[in-house]
Order: sequence, then C-alpha cells, then structure tokens
Amino acid sequence: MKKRRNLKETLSPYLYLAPFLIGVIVFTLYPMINVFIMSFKENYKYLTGAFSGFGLDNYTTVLSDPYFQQAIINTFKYVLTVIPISTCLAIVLATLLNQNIKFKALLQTAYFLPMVTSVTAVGLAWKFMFNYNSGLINFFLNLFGFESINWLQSAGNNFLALVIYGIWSLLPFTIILLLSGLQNIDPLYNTAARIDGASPLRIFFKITIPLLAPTIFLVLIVNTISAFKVFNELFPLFNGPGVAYNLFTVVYYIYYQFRGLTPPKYGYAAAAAMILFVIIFCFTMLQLWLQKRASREG
Amino acid sequence: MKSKFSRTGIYLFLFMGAALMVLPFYWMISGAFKTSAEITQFPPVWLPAGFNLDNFKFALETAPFATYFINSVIVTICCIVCCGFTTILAAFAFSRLQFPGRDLLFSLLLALMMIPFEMLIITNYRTIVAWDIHDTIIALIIPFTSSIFYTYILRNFFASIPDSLYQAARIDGCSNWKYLWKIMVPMAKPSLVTITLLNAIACWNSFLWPMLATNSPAVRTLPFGLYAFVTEGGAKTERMMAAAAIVVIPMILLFLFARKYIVNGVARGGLKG
Amino acid sequence: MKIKIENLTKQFANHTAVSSFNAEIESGQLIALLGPSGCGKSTMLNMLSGILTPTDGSIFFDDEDVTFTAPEKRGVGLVFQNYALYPHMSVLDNICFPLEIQKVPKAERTRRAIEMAKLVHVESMLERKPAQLSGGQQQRVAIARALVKKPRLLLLDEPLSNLDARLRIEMREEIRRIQQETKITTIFVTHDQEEAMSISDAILLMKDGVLQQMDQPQRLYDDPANCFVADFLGNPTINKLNAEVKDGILYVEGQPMKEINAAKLPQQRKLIFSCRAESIRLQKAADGLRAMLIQTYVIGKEMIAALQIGGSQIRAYMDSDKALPAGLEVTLQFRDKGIFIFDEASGERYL
Repeated sequence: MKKRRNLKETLSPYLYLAPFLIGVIVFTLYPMINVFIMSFKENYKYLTGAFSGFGLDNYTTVLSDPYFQQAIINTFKYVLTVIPISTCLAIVLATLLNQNIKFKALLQTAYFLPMVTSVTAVGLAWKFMFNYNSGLINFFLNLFGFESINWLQSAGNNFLALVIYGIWSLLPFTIILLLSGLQNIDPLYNTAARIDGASPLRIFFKITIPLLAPTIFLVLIVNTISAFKVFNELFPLFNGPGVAYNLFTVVYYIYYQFRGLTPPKYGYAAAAAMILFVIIFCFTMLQLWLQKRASREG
Repeated sequence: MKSKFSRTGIYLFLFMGAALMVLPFYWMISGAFKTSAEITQFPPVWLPAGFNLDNFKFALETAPFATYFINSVIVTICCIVCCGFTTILAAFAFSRLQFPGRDLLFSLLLALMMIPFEMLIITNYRTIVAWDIHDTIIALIIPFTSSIFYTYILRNFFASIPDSLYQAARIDGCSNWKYLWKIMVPMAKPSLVTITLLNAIACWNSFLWPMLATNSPAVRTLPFGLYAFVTEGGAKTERMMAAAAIVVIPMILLFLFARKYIVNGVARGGLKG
Repeated sequence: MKIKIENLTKQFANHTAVSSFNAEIESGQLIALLGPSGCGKSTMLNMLSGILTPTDGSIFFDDEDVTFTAPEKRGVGLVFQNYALYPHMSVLDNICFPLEIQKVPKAERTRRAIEMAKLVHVESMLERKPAQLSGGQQQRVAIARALVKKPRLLLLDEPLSNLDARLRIEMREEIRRIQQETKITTIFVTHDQEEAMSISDAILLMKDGVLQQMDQPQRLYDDPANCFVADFLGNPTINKLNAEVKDGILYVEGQPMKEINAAKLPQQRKLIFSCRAESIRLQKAADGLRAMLIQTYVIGKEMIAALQIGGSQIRAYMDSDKALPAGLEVTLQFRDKGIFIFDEASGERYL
C-alpha cells in the first residue's frame, strides 16, 4: 500500500519554481543557446532571418578584425595592470583596517563608498578631475613639480586614466572580501607568532598572507572576470572607445557590432560574445577549482 | 616608541587613502555648487563661494531629470519586488520541497550563473523588440525579474534552517505556503534585506541595458539619462556635476544607512551581482 | 487514547530502521521509547507523528487506522530535541501558532495559550523571544506549544538531552507532573535508561530496529527478556562472567557453582552468568566463587568492590563500609534475585 500523492502535491514545487524559471529560460538560457547558434550562422541577415549556412566564418572574420585584436589586447592589458595593483593595494589596506584602530567605521565607510555608486556618474567626476587645463590631478602633479598630462585626449595617456579609474572602483569590493577573509583567521596564530618574537612585518608575510591565500585567489579570479567585461567606464570618461577607437574593449566591440553599425552585424557580435564567454568560463572554472581546494584545506 | 611611530604612520596612510577614495565624490558635489568661473579656475577652488543652486536648476530644466528620477525609482522598486518574489519562491522550492530532478536542475542553474549578462544582450535586445516592448519601462524590468545568484544565496540560507522547524509547523497543520511566509521569510529577514539592497544598487546604477532598451527621454533612467544629458547637451562641467550628484546622492544615503547589510552581503556572497 | 502498533516496518535505502514492531499502549500512560542511538526509536516516533510513512504495518489510534494519515490530521503534539521554537516569534506567539493555523479566534487562542503557559510555568515570560530563554524554559515552551491544540498523543524526542544534569532531573519530574495533570497518552524517546526508569509507566526497549521488551520499568530490571535488556538497564552495569555446563554442573570462570541447578541449562554451550552488583555478597573463606579484590571505592554512601575472577572483572556492593586491602582473596555468594544465565551467542535467557 502506497500513500497516494495527489496532483496538487506533485505540481506544487513546479508552481513555486515557475515564475523564476520562466525568467531564467527566456532571458538567460534561450539567449545563451541563441548566441551560440547565431555565432555559427554565416551571412546572417537580421531583418529576414536568412543565412547561407553554418560555419566558422564569423569567428575567422572577428579574429582577424584589427579592431577585435585591439580589443583583446586592450582588455588583457587592462586586466593585467588593474588586477595586480588593486589586489596588492587592497591587501595592505585590508590588513591595516583589520588592526585594532580608531575611526574604523568612518574609515570603512570611506573605503567602501565607491561600491554603491554609478559608474557613469562618478566617471563624470573623474573626467572632471582628469581635465587637462583645470583638473585636480594635474594640479597635484604641478604641485609636486611634474608637467601636466593630457589624460583624456591623448591616445598615449588615456589608457592610464582608464586604469586609475578602474583601480579606484575595484578597491572597495576587493577590500571587503579580503577583510572578511582576514576576520576568519584565528587571532591565536597572530598571538602565537608574537609570543615567539616575530616582527609585525614577518607575521604579515609568514602568517597572514599564507592564511589569506584562498581569499586572495578568490578575489583575483572574481575581479579578473569583472575586469574582462570593462565597458561602462568608457562612456563617461571618453564618450566611447577613446581616441580613434584606441580603447576598444571586448564588450565594447560586441556592443558596437550590433548597435554601432548599420546594418548590425549580429553574427560578429555573437562570435565575439562566445569568445568572451570562453575566456570567462575558463576563469570561472579556475575559481570553482580553487574554492573547492580552499574549502578542503579550511 | 617605535610602535607609536608606526601607529601614526598607519593612521596617516589610511586617512590619506580614505581621502583619495572620497575625493571624487567631494569634487563632484562641490563642483555642482560652483559657478562657471570657479570651475575653470586653476589652481582649482576647493570650496565654492556659496550654495549656488543654479546648476541643479539648469539640469532639471533642460533635461527631464525628474522623469529620469521617477523612472529609476519605479524600475528599481519593480525589480526588487518582482525579483524578491521569484527568488523567495524558488529558493523555497530548492531548499525545502522534494521533486524529481531537483539537484540536477539546481546545478544546471549554477552553471548558468557564470554566463556574463553582456553576452546575452544581443538576444535579449531582440526579444524585447520582438515583444514590442522596446523603449518602455517594462523592458527595463522584465529581464531582471529572476536572479540565479540571489536565489542561490537565499537557498543556502533557507537550507540552514533546521528541518525540525518545518516538521513542527507541519504537525500543527501549517501548509507549505504559510510556512514559507510565516516562518521562513521572517527568519531570513537579514538575508532578504541584503539581497534587496544589492539588487537595488545594481538596478539603480544599471547602464548598458537601459542604453540598449530605451531611446526616448520619457522612459530613461538616471545613469543613461545623465549620459545623454552630457553628450547631447554639450553641458558645462558644473552642470554635469550637478546632474551626476542627483544620480549618486540617493545611493550614498542608502549606503550610509545600510552599510552593515551591504558589506555583509558582499562579504558573504563573494561575487558581484 | 489507546495506541496499537502492528507489524510496523520502516525500510530506508540501505538499512531497516524498524522491523516488525508490535505494541499496545494503554490510554493515559507515560511511555519511554528507550534504546541506544541508532536503534530506530526516532524513526518510530516520526512514524507515530506522521512525518515518516511506514514501509509496512499499521498504526491505530483507538480504533482508527492512522497509518497514512497526514501529520496535521492525527492530533499529535510533538516536542523536538532542539525544541524547534520559531526564533522570530515571542513565547506567546509560539504557543499560539498551532491555533492560528487552525484559525481559532484570536481571543480564544490567547486565552488557551496563557492557560498552557501557566501549566508549564512560563506565564511570566510570554513576551520574550526564544533566544532569551534558558534551555529548560525553551523546553517548557515547546511542551506548551505541543499541548495547546489538545492533542490525543504527545510525543517528545529526547526531551532532556540538551539540558545539564541538574535541570534534567527537574524537567523530567515536570514532564511527569504535566503528563499526570493532562492525562494525555505520552511517548518520549530517550537513550538514558535512568531517565526512562524514573518517570515512565512502561518502557519499550529497542535495539537495531527490533523491540526487545515492553514492560514496567522495574520488571525490565528484575526480569529481563535477554542479555541486551539486562545489560542496558542498571548502573553499575550488570556483571558478566563466562560460564559453561559440564557433566551436569555449571562452571563459572572455570569454578563449579553447585547452588545453581544446571539441569535445565544446555550442555556444551558458551554461556554468560550475569549478576547485579547488589546480588553479590563478599565473604571471607567460606564456600563459593573465589575472587581477588582489586580495589574498593566509595561513591556517595555506597561502597563498591572491583573484583577479578578468572579473566573477568566484576563489581559488587559491599555490606561493610570498611575499605579492604587490594589483593585480598574473597569468596562470593549470590542472592536469589538478580541472577541470570544467558546464551553468549544469541543472548537468549535460560535462567
């Protein structure tokens, strides 16, 4: 004899899931599959839906497009400068903020504030500060005896401006994660090392950093993924991809293919999106692997 | 003696860093009150001579910032309410209800979490065009009514509530629906507040999607409205700062009031929205 | 309410938690479901409450078959081991909750909740949250919440295990008092034999999903059905010595024991000679089992001797309160009560 489950009982889990799943299917799963298929459609015409066949045409075109190559180089350059600098800075700042200091709440508020604010709006403030003639940053440079720099309108310097802004906006999130990692370290290790007579600097390098390693890896990966998607910052600072497209990034390239061109090149955009996905997928896998390893050790 | 010296050094370093973090906000807000003479002066003016509201007036008069603001509020509220609702229901199903394929479905969703939204915009843009909701407020809300990430966070919290509470309620004749809203949701309040705040911040600041999905000023939200104001109006810097301040100030206030929830949420989630 | 359990079996994926359980419980009794951890007693309780559905067999409440009745329709109150109080609700709201679900009008449910709170003595802390209560107070609230809907059967899962030793004794007497005042048939699960012995009307002793014996506590102690029952009850634990019957005579640890009639005992089988510590009398140089004194010690007012016989150690209460020197040779004599002989392999009782 088995207890009979009535229809209502069997269906109810799916009813709970339905609103959520519909959203996920329509706006995540379907687009994902669609982009995948679209990236292989050759000579795809958006208006008619016609295409000449499946192949790697879009990929070869995109990969040999100098703008895309530029975008890939720029994106990697951006990731490789912003991530190491912001992580090192954040480790130092988080360690100091984790000390037994006064004004902790005030300082944390200051350091975390940029996290909640619009990239566009604060980007405009930075644009103002980067101004060649009346900007605050050139004022400071002059104060210390350096020449003014044309941050925004010179192709040689605007990448640097993007990097500075990128580091500034990444810091809060990074500091928060590292701080919570630091707070999970048992203070007993610190006490034990101090009793053994280790200097603070020694404790930092020999105890804190190794114990913080899993969090540092996590931060590196999460930030790398988000840095690969650099895009929004370009608008307030440069009104687009810099001087003569010198700051094309991968996401900007995708956006440009179907919003900046007439007629839009959906196939190219899809292929570029797939390439971005593969890059991000690899990093996410790395992240999951590291998280698993970290949780096994911790 | 040495420790006193290094302590002063630490404070000096931390406060200088903090000043640099806050500087753009100060510069934006002080700039919003400057006259056009003050703003172009070099060396720069640190404090505007007076509280001059002309720039705000100008921004509000030339561009429909009031409309943008209202749109932003509507979109943000709708997003957090809809997303909150679907998230609560789905997290409950994944944590408490039994159905075939539950764990498989859940891992599939986790796999979908790694897809960047930027990759989906092409199709999503075409979907809203096909549905004929392009350039409407609805287009700004609908794609964000479910979030795998928040569902994942909330499910983990729900799963940590002991089974015995559920059984106790069931013995009292409490239905699943009632148990969810009377027991689980009140217990998950801190998590829900965090999720809602993170979601609100993300909605308020969202730029790429509104830029794609809207054309007309009547449906713009603040960040894109601000950008349009800057590019179309060829606005002067002090007016730009006033407009930017309108966008930023609500989130600064939100942060000052709910810092703990936001910071905890980020620290716990370990992921960006 | 009377309960009848017939042939109840619960099979999980890879083990049988309860197998062919049969029992009848009289109305208004306080019953202990006793056994070591993992013996299936919690599974039993969950089947009675309806949280788990049995694989086979039936449960009757009076004459009604409730085997597949949903938990909320059985009219049972359940107190969880961790109390499962809703942390965001006050004590009063917690007690009211079952009535709220039943859509009892607000005024009445408050009245009934306060009545229950008075019964369990928590009426002074109605506005507090569970986190502001001590373990014992949480336990009282949990009992009140289980009782407020006037259940036919009250179930308590390890009700005392989360309390410290002192509170445990206080609360077990409280449970007894509340049960006697309400006269509700009550079943509580425990792994603590002392707890079960001290307050229950009857004990159901389980091992590996099988009911070993059901009886009044003292009967279980005096007349155990098998070696497991004898071993599980009593403190200090019952003494066990190796025994064997040869040529019609019982040998315990190799020494003949002529007092016991070995005629009914099986020949050539490994046996266990069991005796309670209070059934042994220590004597100097008389007839009986020879043993060597290892140590004597005092626990409270009692003096206990540890003795070596052959390869085994036993404990015995001493009549005198004089400590004796270690290494002393003594002989043992046994009272009639508290002596059993079991089969070593099966645990079956022969005497």
